[in-house]
Amino acid sequence: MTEYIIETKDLEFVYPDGTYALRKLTISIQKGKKIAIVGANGAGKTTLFLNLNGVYKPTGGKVYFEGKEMIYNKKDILALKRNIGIVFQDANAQLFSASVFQEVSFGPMNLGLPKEEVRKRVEDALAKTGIAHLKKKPIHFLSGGQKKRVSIADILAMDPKVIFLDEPTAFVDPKTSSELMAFFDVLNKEGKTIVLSTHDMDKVYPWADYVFVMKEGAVIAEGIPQDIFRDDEVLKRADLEKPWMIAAYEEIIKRKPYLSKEEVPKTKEALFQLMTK
Amino acid sequence: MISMDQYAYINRLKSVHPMEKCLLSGGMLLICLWNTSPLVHFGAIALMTFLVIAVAGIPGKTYVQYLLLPLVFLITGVGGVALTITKNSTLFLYGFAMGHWKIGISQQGLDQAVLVFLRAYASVTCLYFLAFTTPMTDMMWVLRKLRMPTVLVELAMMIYRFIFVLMETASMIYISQDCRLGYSSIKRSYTSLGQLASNLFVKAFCRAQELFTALTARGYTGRLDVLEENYYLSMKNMALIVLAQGIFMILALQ
Repeated sequence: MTEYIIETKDLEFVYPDGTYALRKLTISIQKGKKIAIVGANGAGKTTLFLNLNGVYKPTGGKVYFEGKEMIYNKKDILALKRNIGIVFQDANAQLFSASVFQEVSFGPMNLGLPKEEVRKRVEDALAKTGIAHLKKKPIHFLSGGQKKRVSIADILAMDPKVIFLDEPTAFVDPKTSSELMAFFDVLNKEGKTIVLSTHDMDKVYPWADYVFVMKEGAVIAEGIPQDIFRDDEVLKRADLEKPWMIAAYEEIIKRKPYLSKEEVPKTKEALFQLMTK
Repeated sequence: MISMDQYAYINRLKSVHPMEKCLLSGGMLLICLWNTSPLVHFGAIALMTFLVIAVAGIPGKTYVQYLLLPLVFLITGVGGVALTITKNSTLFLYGFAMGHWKIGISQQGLDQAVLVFLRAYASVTCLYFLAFTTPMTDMMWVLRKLRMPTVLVELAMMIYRFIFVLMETASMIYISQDCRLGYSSIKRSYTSLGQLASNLFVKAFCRAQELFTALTARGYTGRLDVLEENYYLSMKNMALIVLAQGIFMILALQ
């Protein structure tokens, strides 16, 4: 039986100025999976994250965490924040302290842990994100990629069950971005449910287990990446580009229709293999 | 040129207990302010300069450049102290008349000026020692230990962090304006600079809201609790500091 860690039913969120950010949004996020949420700017991805983490209170609909309905009282909000961490898109907007060590300690301190436990968690999070050597550096000396790693360590130190990553590969170089994607894989193998939003279809296609496509605050399609990214209609409606691997695959099966029974390739190697058949 | 803030993080005294550095700097500052003996002031300048250049490893050239900064203020200030305006010109070492009044330098005024000058410079070197060797993050730690109100320390912490964000934003806006000929004439420069200032304010406001959201997501409820790092007091250093200050006190008494 599949276990869902987060579910929403007809979730709605209206900003105080009357802007509809989420409309009747229903999603189910499977525990321990790698989930991608794709969609153009302003589709409501960040707002969705903030609703699920308890920063915003939904104006309509239902949210379930581990099967339990959240009524967004003090206890629920605390549980959501404890179990769901958000790594924000702009590291500069997330990092408030001048010292890396203090910055990362903020989350676990808010969990009310004893100081020794906090210290251990901070050290672990810094080691995991590969920035233990930057512990004593001030934040304003760090590069964009390093700041990103600090912002991830911020959340890891709180040890949430679900990690939301808001466009983690924006503003970082291709090498760092590939390293980060590989790192998210490692976290996933350790049992964390990873949800990331992105515009980078080429990176997300081989990475994700499951994809939600958002447009104007609603989910317009969902499924495994091999299906979603072959659906021209959906991609066009959501203003998304087709990953190059899918484009190449479709070109191959157009010429060699007998290959269409083969599995859709998820890696470069699989694609090259297909070409030789 | 590397700024003072950067040296604070890379100098050789960085890992020394911040309280020790504060004690040395603050103690010497008080001694310099209390005493009128030029010997004490020269001694303090020599000791601090030695510590900054030879021990902390700050390049001499940079240190001198920073020492020149307060010179302008000092010279104008001290000039005012040295000059005397009076009707009685007999005391003047040098002076000239302007109508009924005489303007000049008296022995007393000159002594006073030299004292102010030395005292100010000695105090500056004491503070420079702290600024060059102690990272701002350590200073916050000291403030906390000295039981400064939490609100003030948290404010200082945020201000320090966001000075750099604001500077980065300002320089990005400036460059983007400059690329579009925003500073090609004086008139345009005024307009562009005005827009820069006003937009910086709006951006800073947006930033503050983003930060609040991000902090809330991590369980912020009004208190910025962070874990302090452990520092270990060196008894040897403390003894040396007290000894040095004792020597200066004795010098002052003579």
